[in-house]
Amino acid sequence: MVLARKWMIVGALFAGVVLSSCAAKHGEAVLAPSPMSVAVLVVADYPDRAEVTGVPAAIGEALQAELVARNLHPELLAPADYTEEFASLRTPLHRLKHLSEQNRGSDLVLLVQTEPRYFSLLSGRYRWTVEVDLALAPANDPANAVMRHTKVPVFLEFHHEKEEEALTAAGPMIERQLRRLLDEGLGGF
Amino acid sequence: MTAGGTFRVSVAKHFEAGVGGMYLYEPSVAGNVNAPYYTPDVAYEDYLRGEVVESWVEENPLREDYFPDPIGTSAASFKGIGYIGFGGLGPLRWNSLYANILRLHPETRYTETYDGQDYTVYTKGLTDARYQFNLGNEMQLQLVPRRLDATWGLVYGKYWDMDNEIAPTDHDRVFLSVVLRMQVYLTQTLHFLAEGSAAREHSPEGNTYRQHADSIFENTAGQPDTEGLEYGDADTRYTYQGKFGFVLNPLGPGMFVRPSLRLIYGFQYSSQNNAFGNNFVETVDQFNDFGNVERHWHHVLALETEVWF
Repeated sequence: MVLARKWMIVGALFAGVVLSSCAAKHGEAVLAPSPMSVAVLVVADYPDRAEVTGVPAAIGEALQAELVARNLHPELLAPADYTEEFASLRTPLHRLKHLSEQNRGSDLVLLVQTEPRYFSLLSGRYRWTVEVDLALAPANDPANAVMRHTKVPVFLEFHHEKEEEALTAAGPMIERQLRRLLDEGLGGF
Repeated sequence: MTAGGTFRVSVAKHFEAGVGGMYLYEPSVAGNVNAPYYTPDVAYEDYLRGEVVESWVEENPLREDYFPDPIGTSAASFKGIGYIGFGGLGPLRWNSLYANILRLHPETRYTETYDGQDYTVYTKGLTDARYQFNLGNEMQLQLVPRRLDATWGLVYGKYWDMDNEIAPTDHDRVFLSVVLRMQVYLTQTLHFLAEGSAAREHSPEGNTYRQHADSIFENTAGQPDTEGLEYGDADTRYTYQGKFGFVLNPLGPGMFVRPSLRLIYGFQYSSQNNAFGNNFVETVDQFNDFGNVERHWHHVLALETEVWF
């Protein structure tokens, strides 16, 4: 009898963990009140050079899918068109302002700015940190932006894995930050 | 004195190869107690039994005070490593093949007590021929992108001790182990893990594993080892393990992404009796009041977390 009760407790614990992980962490996702176009630029900075590049395609595709689910019509912009200006414009706010000026035809502009940075070799793993800044604003009012900043810890296994792999590994966390940003921002625009 | 170096070449994120090596030399230094020494005329069997002094006194009665002084010598050891890696080809994320060969540095000394007096036995000559060869392979596969990953691993080892020809030890063994882990990403954070492994360990110098609770009656040809140098009733151990369960990864998919919270059921079958941590009475003495139990299966249900810092 005691053993049966112990197994019931273990079973309940097991079910609780699984169900809690499947359940939504918060209420329903906030949707745009009406279909809105959004110009999206996802870029990567580097701590050792002024170069600005794009990110692995999978990240852009995942962010695009999230935006579509929020009643938005995303247009992914080519990072190459902004590298020259962004080499001197370094802060998310300045870049968002520039992005707004270049995309007046869109309802919203979204900037996702990342910076992968190698930290150290820890316990046989290559520890990277990916800094992420997200900024969403009406294209005609960049001062009314909502922004998020986070640092994503990443452990890579191999010496040949560099910035691209660190960004890919940080992808799920960037998606999560975008969801929170949209929840905060879409209700107010 | 130690010298070593490594060299690695990478080709376009698809191929890597490396070699390396290290050599350690410890010269004889007269008068330095920490330099290498050996006690002369020690039989290996006496060393194993811890009866070097007793044997010497048997051969030299009433001359305990003249137990031989240590003789200075030099010691050397080495390690060579090789590595080949390739990947980024279709579902093959990366494959690492590595091997090393080494000679262990000899041990220095130990103390025996005889007739209430401590004697130091210097062991360079008894422990300077221990070699190892290790070969390993790890293959990481991305079978369905962001849905299903697999990792396959293999390790082979051959250890041999050229000083020891009479008793099984950890320095004389051959082992081979393979493992396959698969992880299904049900959602970004909830994954399902399944893993299986098989291992064979062999002791070339004789029995060293207990397969049965009454192993003394199951020994080689039903005969116990009257020399007392063997242990158990088998020279080979087989181990099979499997586990499956759910994994919560807050940072998303990836078999090596941490932190992880896991709820796992695991099982093991081993040819060795009670091959898991336990406090069972193991003696097969006829006066053992507690008895012995034969058990080859082991089950574990674990809720565990793993974090890398």
